[in-house]
Amino acid sequence: MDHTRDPCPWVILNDFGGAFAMGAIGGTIWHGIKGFRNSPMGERRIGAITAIKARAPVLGGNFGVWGGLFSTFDCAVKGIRKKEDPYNAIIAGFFTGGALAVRGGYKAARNGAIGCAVLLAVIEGVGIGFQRMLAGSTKLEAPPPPPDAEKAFA
Amino acid sequence: MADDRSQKVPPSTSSNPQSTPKAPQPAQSPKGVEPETSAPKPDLNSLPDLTQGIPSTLEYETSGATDKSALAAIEETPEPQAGGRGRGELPASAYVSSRDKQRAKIANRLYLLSFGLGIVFLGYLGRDWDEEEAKVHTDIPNGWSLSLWWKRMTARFGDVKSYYSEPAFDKLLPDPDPMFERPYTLCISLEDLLVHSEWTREHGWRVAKRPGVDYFLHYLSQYYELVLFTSVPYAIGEPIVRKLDPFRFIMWPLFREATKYKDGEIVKDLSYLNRDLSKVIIIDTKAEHVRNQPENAIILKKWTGDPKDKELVALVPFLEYIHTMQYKDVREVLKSFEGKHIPTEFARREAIARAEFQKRYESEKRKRKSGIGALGNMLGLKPSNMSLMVPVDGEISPSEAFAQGKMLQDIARERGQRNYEMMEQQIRENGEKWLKEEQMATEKMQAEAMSSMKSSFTNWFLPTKQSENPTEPKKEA
Repeated sequence: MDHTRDPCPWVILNDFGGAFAMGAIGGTIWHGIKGFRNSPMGERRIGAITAIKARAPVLGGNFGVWGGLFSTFDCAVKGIRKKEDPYNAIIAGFFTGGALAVRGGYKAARNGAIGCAVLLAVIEGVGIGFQRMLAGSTKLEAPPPPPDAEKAFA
Repeated sequence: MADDRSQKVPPSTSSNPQSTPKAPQPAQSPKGVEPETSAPKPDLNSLPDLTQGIPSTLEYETSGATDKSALAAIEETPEPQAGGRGRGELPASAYVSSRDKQRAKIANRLYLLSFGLGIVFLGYLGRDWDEEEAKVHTDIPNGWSLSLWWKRMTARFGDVKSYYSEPAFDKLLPDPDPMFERPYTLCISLEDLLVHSEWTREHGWRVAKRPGVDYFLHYLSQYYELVLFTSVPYAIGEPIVRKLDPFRFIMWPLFREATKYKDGEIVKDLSYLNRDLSKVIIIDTKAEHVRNQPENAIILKKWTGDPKDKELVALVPFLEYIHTMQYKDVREVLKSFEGKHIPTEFARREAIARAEFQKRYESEKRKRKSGIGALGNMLGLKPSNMSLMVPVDGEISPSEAFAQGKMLQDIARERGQRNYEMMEQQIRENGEKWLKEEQMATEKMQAEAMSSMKSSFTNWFLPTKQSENPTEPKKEA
């Protein structure tokens, strides 16, 4: 049980909100700088603020839709497969990419789905690599002091 | 709306008396005279009066513009008139921009390059072993034949794969300590066996301890080397274990990192445990987790938070009995219980044995022979076991106990209970002190680690300072 995340139907809300916040904050930084740079001298501050107000929520929304959709598909896949492994995320990524690109037609949906699945596979792979790297630190050594059970037992 | 229009009309008629009050054109046509008079200046009257509001174009749209024949006529006309850009004059490739051509070319080259690199990499994977690898793969020799090359390649692939799927270490536990007098090892799972996590919207995650968990761990720690073997990752499981077992009755906690990943499933492979498998018992809730050594396993039902549960504690007599009897191979014992509910089956067998024992005891008593040795032989008591039963102070000697009609396991249980109570008393008296000491120690260690990290960081940023120091005295000198 992963206690850092809520169980399935609820985690969709968390993921949606988290992704929205990420997009909104990132959009603030991105469009803040962009608006600042693209404004004439003397109007740079107002230009930055205008750009942020206009675009950061949109970017947040886009991120949020992606995150929420991904999480929804992830939960669906988990529910159907009854398994917890990296393939859940890859399959969910496939469907997310496809669903988001479906308005571009069959070809766009296919390409989006494959691209998104590959991206998720790379992310999962890197995650597994990191876990394996960190696993080395969990080696058990013979303890120098006897544990308290020993003390009590003696 | 009607009111607005009626208000607007009078000013327009007054300003332009010639224009009719009704703006749309069809309304104008019934008055046949006016178009003739306005013939020299047709614009003024034929155009709609925009002061009356914008006239509807619905009629125009439905009839004229969307008429397909009209559209076709428009489309067709330019074709004969087209100059140099007509279709068919030049091949389609002539209209691809040079930039696009360049991009396509680069992409093609990249595909080719990655393909070639892939082939080269595969060839490299099949290279000869270096010295260390040759020690591991003694079955595949070096050489230039294609089959050998293929075998080396697959072996290297397998190595990479197994790096991620095998447990992190070849030996999960350190070698058994002879001072630690517990010949058997008991592996216990965590989730749904010792604890159960549940989630509610109001409280989030909460972890419940199974009834009797403390007793189970404390009591059995006298007999077994307790190993927590869970499929939960270290980062999640470790805090739970520390909370569950602050006095470290669990000798070794093993987490997801110690499990094997096989065919899409996590397997707790006991062969990596570095213990004699004939003396290892694993208690788990999932049969798939122990499918490599099912003969060592006791599979319990998942505990889902029932506060009246007794399944875990009910196992204690059986596990204690295994230690008391010093079985050579626990797998045989577990096999005899296969498919049965262990606590009830054990209780049944014990009742039978006890009845038998009582019968013998009565007959022995009647005969009044010095039958302790014979009794011991009957029970399969070996001298080595007898030595385990060295009486502690406050305990009656085995012979006396036998004389009182107690079975071997009764004596063991009395001893166990006494030790358990001593242990509990120690914990009650000194537990907090120990915990505080441990906390102090960890804090000290953390502080040391922090300071060493800081010093290494400062060394990073100030590397010149140290090198300057030796030079400075020279200048002065």
